[in-house]
Amino acid sequence: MSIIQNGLSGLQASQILLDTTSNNIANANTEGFSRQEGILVTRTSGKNPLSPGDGVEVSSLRRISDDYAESALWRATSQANYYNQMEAMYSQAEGIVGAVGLSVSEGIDNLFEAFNAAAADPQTIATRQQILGNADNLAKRFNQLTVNLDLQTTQITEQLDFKIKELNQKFESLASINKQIVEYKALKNSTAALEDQRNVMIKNLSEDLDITAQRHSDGRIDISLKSGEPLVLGTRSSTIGLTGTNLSVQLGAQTFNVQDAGSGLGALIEFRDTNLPAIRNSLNTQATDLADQINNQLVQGYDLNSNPGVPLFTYNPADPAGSLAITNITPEELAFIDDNAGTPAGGPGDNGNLLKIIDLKSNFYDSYTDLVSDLAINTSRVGAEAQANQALMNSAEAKRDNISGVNRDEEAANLVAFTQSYQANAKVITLAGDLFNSVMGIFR
Amino acid sequence: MRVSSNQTNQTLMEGLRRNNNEYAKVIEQMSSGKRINKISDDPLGSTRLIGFERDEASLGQWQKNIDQLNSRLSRSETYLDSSFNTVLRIQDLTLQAANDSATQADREAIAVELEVLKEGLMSYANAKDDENNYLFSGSMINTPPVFDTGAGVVYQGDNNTRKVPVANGTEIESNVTVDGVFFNGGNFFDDLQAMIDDINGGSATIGATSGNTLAGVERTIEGLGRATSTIGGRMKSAEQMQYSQEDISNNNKSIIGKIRDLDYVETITRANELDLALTTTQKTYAQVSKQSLFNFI
Repeated sequence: MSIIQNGLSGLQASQILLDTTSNNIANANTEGFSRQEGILVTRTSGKNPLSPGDGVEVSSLRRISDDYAESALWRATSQANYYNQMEAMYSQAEGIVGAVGLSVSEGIDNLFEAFNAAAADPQTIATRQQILGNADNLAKRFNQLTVNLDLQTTQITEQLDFKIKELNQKFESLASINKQIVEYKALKNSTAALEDQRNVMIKNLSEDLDITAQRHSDGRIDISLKSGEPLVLGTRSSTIGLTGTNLSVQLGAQTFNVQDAGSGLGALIEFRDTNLPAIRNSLNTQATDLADQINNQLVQGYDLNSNPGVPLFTYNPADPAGSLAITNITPEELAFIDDNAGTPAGGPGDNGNLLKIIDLKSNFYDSYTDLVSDLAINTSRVGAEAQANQALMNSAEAKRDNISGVNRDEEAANLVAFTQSYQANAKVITLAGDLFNSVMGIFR
Repeated sequence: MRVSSNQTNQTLMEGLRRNNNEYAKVIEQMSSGKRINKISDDPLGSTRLIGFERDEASLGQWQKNIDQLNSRLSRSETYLDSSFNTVLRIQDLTLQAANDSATQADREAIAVELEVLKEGLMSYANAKDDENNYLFSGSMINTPPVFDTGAGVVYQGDNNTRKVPVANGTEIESNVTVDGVFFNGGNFFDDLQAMIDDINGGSATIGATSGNTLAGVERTIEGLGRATSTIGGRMKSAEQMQYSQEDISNNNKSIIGKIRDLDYVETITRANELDLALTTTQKTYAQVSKQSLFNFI
């Protein structure tokens, strides 16, 4: 009597399929979950030519996942996060340099307005005082810009330190999950949940690093940086470290220097070590140009008391923009009187040297305008890139989810089909009972 | 194509998010009234703005300088005019004194008036500006231009000019000196004094000193004319400069407005479009989330 056996096998298979479906429905919202389906095969002893078969069994549960789609998602995540991070950094710098109250351009305007006002009345102390005030204000604008840019540098360094600690823990976790998967696979245990979990961890990693993953038949995944430095080799994990501007990976006794980590971490390092210093350098050049040119002209003239001119600005060459300040010059000491072969060219009403200072004005704008426009163009460019790459990442995520994600309607249809299959097989068993009873009835 | 349920959600959420971002930006623009709220909103426009605003600042400085220049020049002009009238009066009196019909008493009366006129002329030459600095002594603004040493009147200033920037690369001189007026190839004050002394000394003929004085009057009037027309020319240039700069400034302001300020009509239309898109996405979301096979089994 194989009817009962067949019915029972169908009943059991249906139960497994219903279990699988219910698990899929339950995990519809689980991040990184890959839906599963049961693979049905015919059970057969295959000897009796008149036996149709011995029922059905679920030979295995298939985890529906596409390695290519997963890898593409990690790549897209790295790329998107690089630009997201860059955009955030640039926006912050833009906010600093573009702040109205800190505009160097406006500061220069104010200073030269004061110089200009003195041209008509070069001897008036009030207008001279105004020049000192505006020069001080301009110096403070440079100082404040520097302080704020330094603050951003510090923030990035803190963020990097934190991320590096976090990443080293992630490498360890990945190595240990590799170990578990290899063991489970060897024992033929289900690794579906572990593999999903590992994929989520790798995706997480790709938010900070540009990585490549290599899959092995025993179930382990090796992870390295795009440039080749190993991060996780099977069950072994590396540690990364950032000393100054130098990023390195250490695996056992081996140390590798990393040029470009890519992704979020790469963006942070690049911005801190290349982009921010470029902005600061530009400010430093502007500060030294301004101070040197004005000082140089002042010392060639004579002050209200016909004494040789003294500098207006002072700075520390190691940090010009950050240390720019006015000297302890008094209003009377501003040297507006022109030089005539080593003596004052005129009395206190002479403004020959002042006019030469006013002529310097046009020298100071271009580099600041360039700085602002470069920053604006870059912010807007990385913003556009971030948007485009976010879209690419979304589409990679969609591709992955459309393969591995759960569709509730599909599961609902399966639920109906498998329930019906369960009921049909139950009917087969009942029917087999009836047949048996009929046979027994003959002997009554 | 197979689509996961989560993906449907994600797509709609992404649509809502994008819409909200756009909406927030439009609201920011409307509340600030500015099209550019941070430089990266329009890098090229922001850079041009810096240029135009700098230009405006310069124009503002030059306009102030021109105002200052005008005030100083017109003050100088006033004193030179007064000097001119005084010199004419001196000319009249000298001619009267030199006339043969004038008695000694007449001449002495004239000498008294001439004495006063000379003092007046010296005080005009030593006029000060509103900052209490001498107007006509070149760069020696703390030194009176003319001074009576007892042995004669001397010019104590220099002939430096003070230039004031009024446009890019253009400067206008803001001062004239009285060196070329009263010491124009002679010494008018000393000539005048010699005649006064001559009269007061009871001299019967004042032909020589009055002749010198009249020659001095000629030279001084010529010097005054030159100084006044120089001032007039400068004021004219300054005026023209001011007009053309006002034109440029108005033009700048209109360009700044176009770059920076918001076109409300356009933005309100955009806001309405976004509103419509947002409402549509929200309705779709509500509709789609209701659809499920589970509702029917």
